[in-house]
Amino acid sequence: MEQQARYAWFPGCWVSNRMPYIEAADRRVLDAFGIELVEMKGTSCCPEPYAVLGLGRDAWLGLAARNLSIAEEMKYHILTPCPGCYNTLKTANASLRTNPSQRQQGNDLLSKVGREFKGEIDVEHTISVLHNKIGLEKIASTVKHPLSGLRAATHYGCHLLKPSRVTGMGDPERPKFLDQLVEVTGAESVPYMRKTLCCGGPISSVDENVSYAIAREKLLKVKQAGGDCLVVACPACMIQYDTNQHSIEKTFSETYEIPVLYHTELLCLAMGMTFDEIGFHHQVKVDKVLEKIKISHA
Amino acid sequence: MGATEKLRALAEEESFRKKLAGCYQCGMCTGGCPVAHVKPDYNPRRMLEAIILGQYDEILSSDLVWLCTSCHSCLERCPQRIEVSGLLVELRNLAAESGNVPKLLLERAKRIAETGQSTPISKASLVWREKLNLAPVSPVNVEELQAILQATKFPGWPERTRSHANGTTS
Repeated sequence: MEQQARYAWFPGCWVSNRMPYIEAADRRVLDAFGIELVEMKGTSCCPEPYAVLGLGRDAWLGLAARNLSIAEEMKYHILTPCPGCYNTLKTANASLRTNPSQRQQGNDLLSKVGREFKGEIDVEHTISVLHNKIGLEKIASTVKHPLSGLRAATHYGCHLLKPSRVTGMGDPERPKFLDQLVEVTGAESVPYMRKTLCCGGPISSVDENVSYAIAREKLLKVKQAGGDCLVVACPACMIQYDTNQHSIEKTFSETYEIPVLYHTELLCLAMGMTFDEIGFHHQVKVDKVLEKIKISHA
Repeated sequence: MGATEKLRALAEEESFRKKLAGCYQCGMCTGGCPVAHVKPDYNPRRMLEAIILGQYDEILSSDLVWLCTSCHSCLERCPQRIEVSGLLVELRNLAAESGNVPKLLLERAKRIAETGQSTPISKASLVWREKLNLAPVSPVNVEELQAILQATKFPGWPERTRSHANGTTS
C-alpha cells in the first residue's frame, strides 16, 4: 500500500492547549507506523466550524484559507487529530478548490497578508490515516495486549462524518470505521441506541441545559446497554462526556460513571504501552476499564 | 442593506426559492435534530416555513437560531436534498450582523480575534505538554490573523483590537 509518511501536523487549539494527552496518544500511535509529523508554524484556530462559521462565514473562509496556504508552502497534506479542524479545513479546501467565487473571496482575503490559496494539498484525520492508509491488518499486527472482555461503546461524533459529501468518511448513518478500529484491539463494540447522536457540546456556551440534556441521552443509552466505556474520536466530545459528566450527573440527579477513552488511548493500551506512559488525565476514573483489561497502574 | 433586507433578498433569489420550494414540511430535519428532541421549541422545519412565509425579523431576532449544534443530520436526511444546516449557518451569520449574538459566543469570538485561538494555552498546559514530552506550541501569527479578520464582518472584532491592529499591520 502506498502511503505518504510525512504530514503537516495541525493539532488544533483544543488538543494542543487544553487536551495535550490526545496529541501524545495520537503521536505515539502514528509514530509506531512510521508517520512523521512536521510542525506548522504560525497557524491559528482552524477556525471552529460552529462558533466562527456561525458568526461570519467570510472570516471562517479567510482564516481556513490561510492555514491551508501554510501547509501548501510546506508541500505536505495536513493531518489533524480534531474532527472540528478536519471539518473546517476539509470543507473550506473543497469550497476554495471547486467554487470560483469562493476562491476569489478567499484569495482576496489572503492578499492582505501576501498569501495565496493554490489548492495543492488535502486534509486527513488521524482516523482516516489509520483506517484507510495504514489499514486494520497492519494495526492488528501491532496488538501485544488484546483488550479482550472490554465492552466499548463507540461514539463517532458529527464533524468527522458530516456533511458526508465533503468528509469522505462513508455512510454517516451506519459508520463502521471506529467500531473496526476498536475491535482490532480485541475489545467488543457494544451495540446501543442513538449511536450517531451529537454530543451537544457546540452549544454548551449558548444553552448549557439543552447541551447537557443531549449528552445525557447518550450516557443513559450507553449505561442501559452495559457499556464499560465510551470511545470517542473528538476533543469536543471528550470534554462533553468526560469533563462535563459530573456536571451532567448533578444537573439531572443521576449517576452514569462511564469512563471515556480517546480512540488512540485504547490503541496505545493494546499496543502494550503502560498507564503512566499514556497519562489518562481524565475527569471520570478509568480504573474499571483497566481492571477489565488487566492493566495495573500505580 | 440591513440583515432583514439581506435575508429577504436571499429568500427572493430564484435559485434559493427553487431550492426551498422543494420543502414539503415532512419534518425529517426536525425528527433527527438532537436539539429538537430535548427542546421542542427548536424546530428546523418551522424555521424553513418561516423563511417561506417571509417572517424574517422573527427569525433573526430569535435566540433559537443559535441552538443548532451543526451536527448536519438535517442536511444528510432531507429527502429533497435541502442543505438545511448550511441554510441555518446563513441565518446565524445574518443574526450576528443584526447584533443578535449570545454573550459567551461573542466573548469567544473576541478571544479568537485577540489570540488567534479558541482556547489559548495555559501555564498548566505548558507544564503538562512538557511532562508528555511534547514540543512547545508554535505561536500564532496574530498580525496576519487580524489583518484578515479586519477585512471581514467578524463580530469578534473589538475596537481596542482594531486600533491596535491598525497600528501594527497597515
